[in-house]
Amino acid sequence: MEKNEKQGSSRREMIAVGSAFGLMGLAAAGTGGALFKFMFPVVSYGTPQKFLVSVDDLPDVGDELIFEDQKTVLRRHSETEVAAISLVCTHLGCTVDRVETGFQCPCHGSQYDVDGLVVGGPAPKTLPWLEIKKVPGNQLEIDTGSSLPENTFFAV
Amino acid sequence: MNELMEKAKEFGLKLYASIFRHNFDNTGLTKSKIMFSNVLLHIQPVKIHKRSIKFKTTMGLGLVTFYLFLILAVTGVLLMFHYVPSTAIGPDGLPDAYSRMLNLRSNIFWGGLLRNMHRWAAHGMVAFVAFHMLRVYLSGAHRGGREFNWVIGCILGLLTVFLSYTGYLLPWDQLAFWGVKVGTEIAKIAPGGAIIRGILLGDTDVGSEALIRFYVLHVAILPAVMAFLIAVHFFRIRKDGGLAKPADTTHEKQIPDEEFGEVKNASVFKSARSYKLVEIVKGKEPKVNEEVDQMMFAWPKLIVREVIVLLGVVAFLSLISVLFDAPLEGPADPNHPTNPSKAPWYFLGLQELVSYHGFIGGVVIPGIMVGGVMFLPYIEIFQETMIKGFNKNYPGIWFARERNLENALFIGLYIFMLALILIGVYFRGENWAVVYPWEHMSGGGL
Amino acid sequence: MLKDYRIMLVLAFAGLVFFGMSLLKEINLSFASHQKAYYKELGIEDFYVEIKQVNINAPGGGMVVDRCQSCHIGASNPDALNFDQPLAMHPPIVPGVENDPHEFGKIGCVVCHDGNGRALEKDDAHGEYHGWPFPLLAGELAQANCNRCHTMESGSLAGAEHYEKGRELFLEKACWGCHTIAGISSSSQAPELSNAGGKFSYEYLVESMVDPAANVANSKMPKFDWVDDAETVAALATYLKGQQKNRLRSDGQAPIGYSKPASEEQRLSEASAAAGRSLFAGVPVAGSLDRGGCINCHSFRNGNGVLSGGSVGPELTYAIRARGKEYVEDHIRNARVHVPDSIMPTFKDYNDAEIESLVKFLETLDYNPAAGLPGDKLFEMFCTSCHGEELDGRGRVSSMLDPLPRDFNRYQFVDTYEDRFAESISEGVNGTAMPAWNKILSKEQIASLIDYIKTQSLTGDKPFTRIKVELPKTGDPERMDYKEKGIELAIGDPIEGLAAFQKHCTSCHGKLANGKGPNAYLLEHPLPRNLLNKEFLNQTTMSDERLYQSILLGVAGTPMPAHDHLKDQTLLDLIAFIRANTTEEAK
Repeated sequence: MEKNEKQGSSRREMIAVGSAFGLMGLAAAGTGGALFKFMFPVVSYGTPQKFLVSVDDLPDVGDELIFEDQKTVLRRHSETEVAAISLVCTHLGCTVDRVETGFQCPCHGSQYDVDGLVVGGPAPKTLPWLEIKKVPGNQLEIDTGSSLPENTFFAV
Repeated sequence: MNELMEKAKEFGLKLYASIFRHNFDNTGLTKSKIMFSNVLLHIQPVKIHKRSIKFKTTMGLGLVTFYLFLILAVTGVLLMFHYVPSTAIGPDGLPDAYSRMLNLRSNIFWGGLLRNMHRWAAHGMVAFVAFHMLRVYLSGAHRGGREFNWVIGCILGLLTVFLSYTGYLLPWDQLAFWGVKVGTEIAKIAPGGAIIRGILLGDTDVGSEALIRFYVLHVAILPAVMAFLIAVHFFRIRKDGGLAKPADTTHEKQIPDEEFGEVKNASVFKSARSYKLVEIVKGKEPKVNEEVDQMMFAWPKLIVREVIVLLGVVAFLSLISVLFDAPLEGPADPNHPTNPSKAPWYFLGLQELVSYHGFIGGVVIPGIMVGGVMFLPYIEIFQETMIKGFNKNYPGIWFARERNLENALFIGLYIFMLALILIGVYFRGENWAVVYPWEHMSGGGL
Repeated sequence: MLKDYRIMLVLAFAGLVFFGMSLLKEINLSFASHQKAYYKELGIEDFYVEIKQVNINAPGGGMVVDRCQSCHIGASNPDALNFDQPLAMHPPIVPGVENDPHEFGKIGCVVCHDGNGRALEKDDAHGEYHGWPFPLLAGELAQANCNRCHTMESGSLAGAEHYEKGRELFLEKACWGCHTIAGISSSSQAPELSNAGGKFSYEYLVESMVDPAANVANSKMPKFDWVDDAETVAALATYLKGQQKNRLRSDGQAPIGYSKPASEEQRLSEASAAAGRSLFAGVPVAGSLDRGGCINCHSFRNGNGVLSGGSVGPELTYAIRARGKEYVEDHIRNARVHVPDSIMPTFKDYNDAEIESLVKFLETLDYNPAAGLPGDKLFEMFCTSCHGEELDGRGRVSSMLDPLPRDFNRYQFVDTYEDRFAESISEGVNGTAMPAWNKILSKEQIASLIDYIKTQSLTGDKPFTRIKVELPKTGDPERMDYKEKGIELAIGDPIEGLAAFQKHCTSCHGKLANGKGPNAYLLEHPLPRNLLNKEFLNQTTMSDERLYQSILLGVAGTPMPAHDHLKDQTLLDLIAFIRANTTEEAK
């Protein structure tokens, strides 16, 4: 009888301690998550990752517009199709130059054709094609952080 | 298959044993092992006097202060990720340091909360240092071999105030700038104060140099010194024989045998109340005394109590920080003083004194108070040595009758300071004129 | 133990709840709900909520951070024209231009509208909290910030009409007479306003105009009549708010700007009463510094006796007749030549032709209603603007005069000095705003005025007798020589007088003897005499005997007390000291 009582009390203790530490663990995990958000950047003080281009400012068919700060070339493929290609070399992140044959990296000599496909040098991948979105106000938003397969055109 | 399971279990046990070198059963040996095989727990003794866990012995005040220090360290380091100690004015007309405060408040997740926690914990720590000191004195715990620890404690108290004060400047808003400005002007009054002020500010006035110096003091030097002195403070508590208790407690109730857990193996002793060598040997190192029957295992009772205090502090601080935002005024503007310009509240008593008489209020009275309080135990010892029959050594006794005069004086000192601080915070308005708090609410002090 | 564990459990639970509260506070952000409402209204489903930050780089380094469009997300979207705030489109800044050059995606909002660009909560972002230096400038007030990028020296920048109106008012209301704004005016009479916008908030500027004493307790700025007109005040405050040194683009880099046209440098070369009238009224005059506006402070009566103008300075209908042409010219150039405590600004920028024009205009004022009026009507017509309808020296223009007009309600004064009144009225009191009226009023009229003052002041039996004393001469026995030592009076010594002055007089008359001692602020009317007022103290009526009487017996009906405890020798020394200060060769 006495033993049962003792066991009961010890079980109740176990439940109390267990749930207390459970809650503490939950709070600790939550705090960890919150601190992750605390450290995670939500704004940029440099060049923003996304930038806007007015539909009125788009280049003529076949022409290109280079945004130096955003390291992006905007190309009008046809009347209704536009594409944005990143100018950041897929090898080690230098900015590639626009040349006659396509793009050339000044750092390690990677070469790309006009569509950004690798034709020489150490570059491992095609230059990223960027995601374009229509946003309110008759503007296009280009996300320099995105990466689409080549020849993905945006329909204006 | 079974064999595999067995082996996996064996591996698991080995893994467990490599981390935890003890079980969690209810034997005295385990309770001892837990305490001395864990780096955090071994700071504390395996066995403590049963008085030590009584609420009325310490009220947990020192522990609260220590926890606040830990919280301040953690939140402070986190805040450092988003702070720059720069007064450079941006094109938006705001000093860099101040802009960072605005960032903390707006786009940084939990930025405001962590700043609130840091701010309120800092004020809380200053307050709890004072409470802790009052408790120690009124229970005579600064005597009985603990005199030097009292001095260290006083230094820790001063460091706490200074640490809080250096942090007060960092937001670089009007409150910070003028609070610190007023505080450093008070320092000028003391002989040599102008030199110390110069070294502290790195300039003739509070400015960009002062911000960097306060920052370095606040995040590196003072916390390091503080951490070291805290270690000394704790170490000496153990070496001085644990928490203060009356010279003779043999008449107090013994701890019943069953409290000590189960008896394993065929011990000669009927209970787990172990009379180990160190407990029987008398002497100072480590200090033991004859009340072995009142010594109990620190695990788990003390540890649980400590966790309770920690949880209480964290929970309360979180609540305060969710409900109340840390003050942030406009950016610091050296050309437009706030009226009234108030130092942080723990200096407002001093500011109030200075408003009556610069030298007496700013140097003589505070000097006598700080010096007198710091060397209080030695003053008592000096009297005991010089005068026959004079004895004020009653450690661990609340409001010992023999210490009535001393206790009354100490409480009087606290009331005096508290009254001055309350006057400074609530009853001083523009041009330092006397106002009533319900007439208007003035900034400053927090 | 169980109890301990349960406390632990409760506290852990409480901690978790508070943790959850902190998360709720962080997650429940107003900009997110604004963005959701915005996309919902537009019918867009594919969107994500984010902080829209614009970084505006300043040429001198650093950047302005602007997160306003996190809430004001439709600022540049024509589809959002009719949305509710904060989602609505910003109305066009430059009217009539198809493609507005101001792209909010690049210049943000705070550059024009102030406020706290980093904040994401409304009150915080609009700067509506204690101590924030630049609260939101809503609507047309934002024109104050056009010149952060554009040069705005003159002309009309399209869309900045409110600001331009403020500039015109600054000239028209004669603010320029006292306040300096670099490139517009130069006067040291009042605080410089070249960086007014950088130092003060819009609210502060408005408040300082409407009630000059609100922010600066002992401000000498008059409270003008036009401060009741909110539109005028708003335009002026917008203009002043625009005066700031913290600019994002220097003049050279300004996208569009208007510099000062050369025509403004042309000046009047020939004096005429018409030009003077325009200048007086603050109306632009062709070929002249288009800055006048005497009328903001001074009033005058036209031929029909209709009064117009401000009530800060004395009425000028009789100025030329009473003072003479030369005095008026000097007074415009520097009023403190004749009245050392005048608050009238120094108009040193006027050329001779402009000043002569003003004088010519004043000469045209020939209204004189004096004929046939009884004493009370005369007083009402000529005296009340300064001396007050109640004869209490507190007329409508009195507060800006120094020395203050005499208070005739002090019957002691009237009783004691009535024999001086005739001369004071007919010859004026030099060094004060009291002109000589003998060119306008006849002897009989002056006599009836004095009668009126006496009947108003000396009512009933108020016994007041004052002993007569004579100025002691050198060699006379000392009055205070009770022990009969045979001390004889010597010539007053200014050095001894200075010592005595510092001992007995400075608390009211001030250490500099300019009448501005510490106790003077406690006195109301009249204030202690400025003892450096040369014009006043060198009048023929201001004899040594009068000074002696005034010091020894005090001045009846004023706070000046008797000093019969001083030795005659001390009094002579004091007189010598006062004389030494106010004679030409004195040092």
